Amino acid sequence: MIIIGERVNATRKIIRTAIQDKDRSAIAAEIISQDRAGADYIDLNAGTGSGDTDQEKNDLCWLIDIALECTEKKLVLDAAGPEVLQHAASHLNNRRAWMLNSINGELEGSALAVIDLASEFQAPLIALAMDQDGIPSETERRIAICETITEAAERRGLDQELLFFDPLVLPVSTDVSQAMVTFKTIEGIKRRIPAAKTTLGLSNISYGLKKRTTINAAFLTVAICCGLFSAICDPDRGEIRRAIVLGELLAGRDRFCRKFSRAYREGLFGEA
Amino acid sequence: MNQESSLDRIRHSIVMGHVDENDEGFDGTMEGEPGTVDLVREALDVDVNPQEILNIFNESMEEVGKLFESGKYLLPDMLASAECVGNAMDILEPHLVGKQENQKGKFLIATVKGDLHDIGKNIVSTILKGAGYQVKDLGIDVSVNDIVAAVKEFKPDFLGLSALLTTTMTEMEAVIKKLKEAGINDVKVLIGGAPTSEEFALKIGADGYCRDALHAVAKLEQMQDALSGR
Repeated sequence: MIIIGERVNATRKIIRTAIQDKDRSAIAAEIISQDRAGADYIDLNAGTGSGDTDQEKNDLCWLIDIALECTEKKLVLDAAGPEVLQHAASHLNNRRAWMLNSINGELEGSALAVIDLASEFQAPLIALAMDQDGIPSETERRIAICETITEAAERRGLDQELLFFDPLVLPVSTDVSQAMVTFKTIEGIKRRIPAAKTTLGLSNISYGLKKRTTINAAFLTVAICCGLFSAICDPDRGEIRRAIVLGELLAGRDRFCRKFSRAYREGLFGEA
Repeated sequence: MNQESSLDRIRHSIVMGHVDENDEGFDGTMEGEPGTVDLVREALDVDVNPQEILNIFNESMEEVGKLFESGKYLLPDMLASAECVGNAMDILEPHLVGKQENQKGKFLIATVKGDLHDIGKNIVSTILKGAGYQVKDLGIDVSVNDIVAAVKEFKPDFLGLSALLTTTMTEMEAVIKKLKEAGINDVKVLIGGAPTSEEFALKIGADGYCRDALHAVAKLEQMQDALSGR
């Protein structure tokens, strides 16, 4: 299971403030704690929503520099526009393994430019199962979008191995069938685009409810059992780590139950 | 590499249950390291005495048994170690030819007719392989006649019978009866499974009852000692 640590994201107030105040140690602390908690990738997002592209470019490079200093983990360059991503990619200059986050099925100039960037560096790319009409509420439509993205990517020299599809999730609070739609989408992507990978942001599932981390964790466990390859989450949360360990155990992806027993010995499930 | 460190590495690999290079081992540090089988192959290549390797297998599994009984190891940890030895034994065995006195013996195992439980039987089978026995597993739902025929053909030193149901444990008695009728009295019969007990074993004329896999190993050692008069 590949874990992408989600916390360095400027949509979070603590990160936005740290970016504005150029508070290095606050960012470093967020990175280091996710590193220690077992993240494979650290996501870096500097989009404060100001719409100032030059500012976002500088801020993302600043985040990259901090990450290069305080972790050995791989990095995810996370921005909405191709300009910021291109700038960040050339600043990073392959000093660390990395991937791009993200495009969706609205395949006009901007998304195509990001695909070209991924193709140029042969870097993995996260692609969302939605398009200009938003997130489809049915499985079939989401998978169809992923297939369209795959075709476009392959035409531009980016093999499906390098695509990480996020099947997306809508809140169960507004439509109780939505968790199952996501699970079936994960299975469908695996079946129809076999070499592509999947990743998943969790928190939308529990929007509008209580005990959100508990819901997110149960959702993640089942998603792993459906074949989920990677998750975008906060590995520093015990409930999330437990969900991953249990998902891999029940999915048959934990030979000799090693990961489970080690987590148990380390006290992840309480007193041994 | 000298012979001692080669044996130490095999011991460590077995205790860690490091089956192959893809396996992370008990402590999670061993991914990418050569597996137990590879280490045994290497040792044989540099002419380490096969008998010493066999001794290491036994010592390592004893250590693993203790770790399991102390609660530090869980069942899959012990099974991983047993699998290491089971696989490595296939490599080592040809090198032990002519040293038959060191073989622990042949063990035939089956779940009796009408009973489909195989988890316990498989655990016993894996652990006994790990302990150095040559194990043949007939599977589940095996009839009295098939068991007796297999005893005639395989000529085991020990026969292990498993039953998890009160309705099928009676089959065990039928097997023992049939063996007597066939004039076979040189195979020791051991029984196990939730509804069975020491008393039941006595009652049906079995040679022993085993509570679990480690108990089976201990029981077999006792029997070996008694047989050889040690």
